[in-house]
Amino acid sequence: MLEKLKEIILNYVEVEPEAVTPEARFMEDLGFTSFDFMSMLGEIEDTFDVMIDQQETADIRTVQEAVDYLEKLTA
Amino acid sequence: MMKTRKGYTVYPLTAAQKFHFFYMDACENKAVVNIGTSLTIETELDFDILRECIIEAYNRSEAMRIQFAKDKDGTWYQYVIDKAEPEVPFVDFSDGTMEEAEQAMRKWTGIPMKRQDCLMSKITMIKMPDGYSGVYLLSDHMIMDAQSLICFLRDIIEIYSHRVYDAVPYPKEMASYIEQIKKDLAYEAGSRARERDEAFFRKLIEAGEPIYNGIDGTKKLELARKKSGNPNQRTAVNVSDSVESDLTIFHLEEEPTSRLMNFCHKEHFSLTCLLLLGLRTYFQKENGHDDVSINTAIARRATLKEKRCGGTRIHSFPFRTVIPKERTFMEALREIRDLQNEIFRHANYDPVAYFAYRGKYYKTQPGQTYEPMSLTYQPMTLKEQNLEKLGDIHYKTKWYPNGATTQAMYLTVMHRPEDNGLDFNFEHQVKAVSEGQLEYLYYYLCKIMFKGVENPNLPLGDIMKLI
Repeated sequence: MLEKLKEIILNYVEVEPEAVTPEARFMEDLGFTSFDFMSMLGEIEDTFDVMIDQQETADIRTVQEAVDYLEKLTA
Repeated sequence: MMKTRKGYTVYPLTAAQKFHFFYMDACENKAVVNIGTSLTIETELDFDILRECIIEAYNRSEAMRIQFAKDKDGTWYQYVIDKAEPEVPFVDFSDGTMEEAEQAMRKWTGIPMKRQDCLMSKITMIKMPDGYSGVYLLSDHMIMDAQSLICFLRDIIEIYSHRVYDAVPYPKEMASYIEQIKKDLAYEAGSRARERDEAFFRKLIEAGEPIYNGIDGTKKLELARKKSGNPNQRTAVNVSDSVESDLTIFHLEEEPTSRLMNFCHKEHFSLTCLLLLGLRTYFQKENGHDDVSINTAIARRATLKEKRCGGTRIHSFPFRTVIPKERTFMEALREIRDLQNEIFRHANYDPVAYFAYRGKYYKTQPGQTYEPMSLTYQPMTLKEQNLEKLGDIHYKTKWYPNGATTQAMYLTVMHRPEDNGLDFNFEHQVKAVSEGQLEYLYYYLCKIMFKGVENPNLPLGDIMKLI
């Protein structure tokens, strides 16, 4: 899941793949804007065929938190 | 139906392009879609090399090679030519005054461009009286928006810098405009995402009718109610009978700007959220309604390809909030941020379809609106890693009005490369909104934002009283 998400993340920000660690914060470390992040959620929905709840993603700050949320959705 | 033009595959217009097309088509002054900008640098330029670099930049960007054509049935299409050979004249303004130079560029910006089977931009190299040199770019809003403008100008600088300075690498490739519009057109043709987005906006529209708030209070709404005989009418006409426009610019210096930006950075809000809260609180104060709606532009460039494909991608939607005065500044900001994020999720939806549905749902008459103004915040600047290697070279950018607007008032907030401050650019119909009214709005917008940033736990009502 982390590797799939990493591939998607690298479509949005110009960082080295090694920078996309589980601890990396989307905004502060990877340089996402809120629009980038919301747009990426749309791509994730289509890629993983899931429905993402806006409220549940409000507290996602790091890559690992996003992975945990996705694993819960796809379980 | 047109399939090819001059041997090139044609594509329909995208939703973002159609938005500009419709108001341009209805406006007698076709310069209404012109964007005129200058970028000048405080250094001697080799204009022969610059010309070559400009032509190279055109040929790196599919979007700069877009041309339009009209079918027999009146439908417009777009196509991208393989190679552009634009004329790149040079104009030396250095013997005159800055005012004369800017007056000339203002005049260029007001000249409508030919629209069929030709490039939709013109670029001129310029030498200014203040010792700065660079380019003036005239472009059509149907092929360019603020972000792609900055991207294109940056590309010219980077190509030029690579040519004349050591250790400046050649810039990365631009992304394909054609590949991007194929995705946009596939979305618009019918997709699960489009159905989802349509359902979202229809639900938002059906939740309740907004109400018009005027820059100078409820005068226009009262006038509309008197005219229609309906005391409960919630729309008003805010445009005048003349599209003649002016651009009134207010500058916020570096230090106060940094106070706002630091607050946004620390509390995880975009500056747009702060601007929206400042503006809606102003309208709330002037009109006495908790319900305020302001059109807000979304750049729609999230992926790296979207950021570098050029073209015009902005979609504007009403941003409506109903926030009672008892709510604190910080609570209101959070509410705005949450709504902004929701709208971002659905921003690919066609704004023309949005407004058509809302008009039909609430049976509004042509020209009637709930929104007194539009807002766009442009965070991109020309500062770029490669360019910082050139040392302390100063840049200036300037935006020239085209003389016409179909909107009463449009605020674009941009960073100033000169001093890291902010420019508040108000484009307005001269007969609909006066400079005096804008000064008043800007004054209170700043008072609200700064009071709120310093005291985020104050209720909005208290902030309104304190200012």
